Amino acid sequence: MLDTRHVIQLQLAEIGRRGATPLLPVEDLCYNPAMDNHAEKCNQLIQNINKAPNLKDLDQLSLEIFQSKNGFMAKLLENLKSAPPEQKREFGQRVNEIKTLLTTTINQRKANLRENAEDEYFDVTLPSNLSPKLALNQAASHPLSDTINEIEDIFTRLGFNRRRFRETEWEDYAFTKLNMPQDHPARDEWETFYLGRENQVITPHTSNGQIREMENRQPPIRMINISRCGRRQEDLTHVPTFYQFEGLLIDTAVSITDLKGVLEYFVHKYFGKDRQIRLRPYDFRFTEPSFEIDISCGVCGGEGCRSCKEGWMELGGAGMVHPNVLRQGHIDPNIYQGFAFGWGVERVFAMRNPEGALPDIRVLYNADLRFLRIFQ
Amino acid sequence: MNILVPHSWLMDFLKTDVDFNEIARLLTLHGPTVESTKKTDSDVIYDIEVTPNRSDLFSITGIARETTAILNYHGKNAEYLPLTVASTNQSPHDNHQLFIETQEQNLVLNLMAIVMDKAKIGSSPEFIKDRLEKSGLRAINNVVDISNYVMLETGHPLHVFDYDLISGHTLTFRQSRQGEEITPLDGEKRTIPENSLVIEDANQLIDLCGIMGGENSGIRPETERIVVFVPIYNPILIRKAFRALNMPTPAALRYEKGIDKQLTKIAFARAIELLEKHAGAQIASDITSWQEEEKEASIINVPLAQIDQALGDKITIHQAANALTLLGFSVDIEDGFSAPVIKIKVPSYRVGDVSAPEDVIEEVVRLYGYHNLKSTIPKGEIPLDDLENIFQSERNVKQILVSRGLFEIYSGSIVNNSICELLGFSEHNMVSVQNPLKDEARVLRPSLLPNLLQAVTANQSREEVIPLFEMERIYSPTENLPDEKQMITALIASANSAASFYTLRIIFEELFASLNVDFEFVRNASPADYFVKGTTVTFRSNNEEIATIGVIGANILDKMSIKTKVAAIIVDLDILNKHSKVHRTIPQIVEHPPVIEDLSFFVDHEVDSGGILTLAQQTATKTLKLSTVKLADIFMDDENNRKSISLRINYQSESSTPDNSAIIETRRLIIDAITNKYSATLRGQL
Repeated sequence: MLDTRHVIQLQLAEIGRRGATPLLPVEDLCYNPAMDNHAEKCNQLIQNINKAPNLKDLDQLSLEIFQSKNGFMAKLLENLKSAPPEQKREFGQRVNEIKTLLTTTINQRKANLRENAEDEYFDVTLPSNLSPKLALNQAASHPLSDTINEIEDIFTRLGFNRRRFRETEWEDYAFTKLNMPQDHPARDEWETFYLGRENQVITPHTSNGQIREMENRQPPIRMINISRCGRRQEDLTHVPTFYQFEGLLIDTAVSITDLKGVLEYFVHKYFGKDRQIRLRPYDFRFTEPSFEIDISCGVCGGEGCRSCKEGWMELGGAGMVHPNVLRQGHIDPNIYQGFAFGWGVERVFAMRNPEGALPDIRVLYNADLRFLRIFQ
Repeated sequence: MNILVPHSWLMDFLKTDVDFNEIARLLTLHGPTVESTKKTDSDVIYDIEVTPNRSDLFSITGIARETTAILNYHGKNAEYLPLTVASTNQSPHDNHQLFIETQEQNLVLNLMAIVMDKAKIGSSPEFIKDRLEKSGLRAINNVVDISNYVMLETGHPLHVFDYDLISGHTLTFRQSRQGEEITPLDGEKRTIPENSLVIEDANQLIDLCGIMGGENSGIRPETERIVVFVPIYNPILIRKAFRALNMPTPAALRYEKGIDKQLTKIAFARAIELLEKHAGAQIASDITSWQEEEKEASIINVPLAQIDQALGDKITIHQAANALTLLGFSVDIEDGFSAPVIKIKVPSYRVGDVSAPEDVIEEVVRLYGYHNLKSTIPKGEIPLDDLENIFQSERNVKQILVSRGLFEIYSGSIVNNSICELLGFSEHNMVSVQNPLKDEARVLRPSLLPNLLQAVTANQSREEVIPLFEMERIYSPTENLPDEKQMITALIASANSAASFYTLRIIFEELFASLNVDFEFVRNASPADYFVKGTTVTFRSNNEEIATIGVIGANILDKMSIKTKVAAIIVDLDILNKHSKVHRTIPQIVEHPPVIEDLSFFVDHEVDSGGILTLAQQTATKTLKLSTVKLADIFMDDENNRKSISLRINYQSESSTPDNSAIIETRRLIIDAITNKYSATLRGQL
């Protein structure tokens, strides 16, 4: 019969080599009748350790073995006290070895859990014809992508070129160059996210793209900039970072009627031929004159209902580019005029819902497969 | 900002036979938007959105004046009845002292003040209470109500102090020092932001100027002597203070937008009139009056042609002049020979928002009516798009991934810090947000992975397999603006790491192939921290890394409470685009048949089968150019810790079916290469 101590040493060596369960059971020390089944218990513990599904459970187990008053180690030490004096020394040594065995097993299991997948070796280079595959059905593109594509396609038919500009931006481009001087109250309304570095923001609108496009090229300009923006707002109709699309046209002899024509074209293509648009006077710093654009309500057809305001739904802002903004883009306002509009992608998507606008647009950003499958 | 306007009050200043529905419709189309009209028993309340540039419309009289102009332009009967105040020619029957000083210039732009006594505090007459409540304010007592009433009516805020609570009868304007405190009338003690505008008496602070008066100097039931105080404050100081304190009171919002200086004497006289009438107060001091001298309004020249240009239509100069006159501008027409010009002077209540020809044009066009303009498609030249169309290729990529079974997600740019740190990104490698909405999410994402992993956590209770991707930008700090890089990240969560991994790998191999990218994949020995080391592979094209695929570490999944295994791939879209080719080279289709044979080898359990396949393929094409090799079979011999790999080789040359000697030569090269490199043994006899 193997000496117990030898068995333990063999097992420690084995754990070190393979990181695996001890092959042989720890044999009973049999010094004390009260200790009868401690070897069995020890083996059971080792099995439990190696089966621990995660680090948290493992920590809990280790706590129970070593720290608990009624734990395994506490009992062993109690028994050590009552061992016959002449055997105390040897018994003590064995207790220490068992302690080492348990801690080593725990540490090894910890390492295994951390590098779990290393255990389950698989040949990452296995060619595809022999690789086991999950059966996936065709999925769905996100409705925002579809909306962005549609917007792009409608405006490219009118000669607008798609652009995407920065999301992180200098305050200058987000505000100052857009005719919103420092300290102007308009800056507060945007509730802007400021970045760690001085004078940098998440652009609160796609209008930064106006200046960037003007800096990049000479008129005529026709761009449709579809980019991410951010504002400090989160509720049923706002997410902190979102998409806007911004149209900009700069040319000689541009009139408000051109703006109206382009927006009407978009509304008829995107929402349907039966929808009407309405321009209301408004105020934006970077356009003069400025408008709010409404479309007739798709739910009630303009009669007035719960989904709209007296038959109209607000779409977004627009206006003729302010001469100061043209100057900031190095374009001479005496020769060129322009118009611009900037609307929410989420908003136009939400507004097209035939039952009335989506109740909560955050569903677009929370990756819930129940929502995404609707578009399959 | 919205204001509530009771129709009955509006009619004090507007004589018309036009009904409220028509008023609401015309105001919306030509002026401020009437968001709704609400009928009460005997009245109608307009809810009107006033844009910040129109400080002149934050009052009943302002709305009445604007409505009159709009109605008249459209041929309706309407007359504006300006607020007239019975002049108080009575001389003060007493002369109480009031000392008003300022420590600095530019704190107060205009001021009128007077002491009144014999006031009897009680409740207001019904019409005042009724109108205040319809306008959204609570009635308190006659004196306080009158000050609110005058503010709503004229747009000019004012304040009433209890004269006997002002110690030393001294009022000193100054900017607050750090840490000073005040308890305003709402009874909630606050620390005043530094440099706010305050009033101090001989002892203490008694007013948070323009926002709310101090509790210690407010009207009490026993108050008899009062100070009527009608100031215009520096709007920037008021704005900073009320924003910092989050106290957007009706007074503060009006001060912020700027007050017409002509209004001070009107509001002052109106307040005295109402206090005499409804609170029994009598004037009991001289008037304190600081009035800045009026600047001569400057003249703006607007060529008629510029108006026509904006309108896209012709308008007569008289039509334009009529619109401007109705709106209160003084108009002069300079009927030049061929280019008439309108010269206008701006009234005091519009100097804040009309200063350039464009502003004047807006006034003309909005009265004309945007809805009356034609719709035209722009006629100019269509600019050439000089940029590469990355958007088309992004669309293709998304379509391919979706068709292979990955759901596209969108998620926020601002992400959870602790998840980023868990994935091994350190604070200084991320772009931070100074004023986040949530404390735990205050960095711009350095990777698309955090949100995708969170999506797994959120969906796992309902789904066995979760296949997702996102195509978006990630951010890293630089000396300049942050770097923004377009990426694709995809993952598949399932019970089995290998199955997730293979499925994802095959989807992207197919994607790369369809974009005509030449790629190889090599094991990555030092992947990012979140990948398990032994199972990470990098796709390369011309030695540039396009993508890395691997299995997410168990400790990460554990901390995110993800119960499945997850394989993920990170793709650099710029580099992918760089190596993808729009046009395919089209090879000749070979008509003559290949010679097919299988070769099987025993190799160590842990040898990469893909490596053997690549080596066989490369070797075969050295002698027979069109040969192809695929993996026919593989089985594990676990007892001997080895596996058997069978290769199916199609020997194929360019010209004809290959002859025997060429096949023998090629076969020998393949066997030598594999046995040498992988210590493999050939199974069976040749």
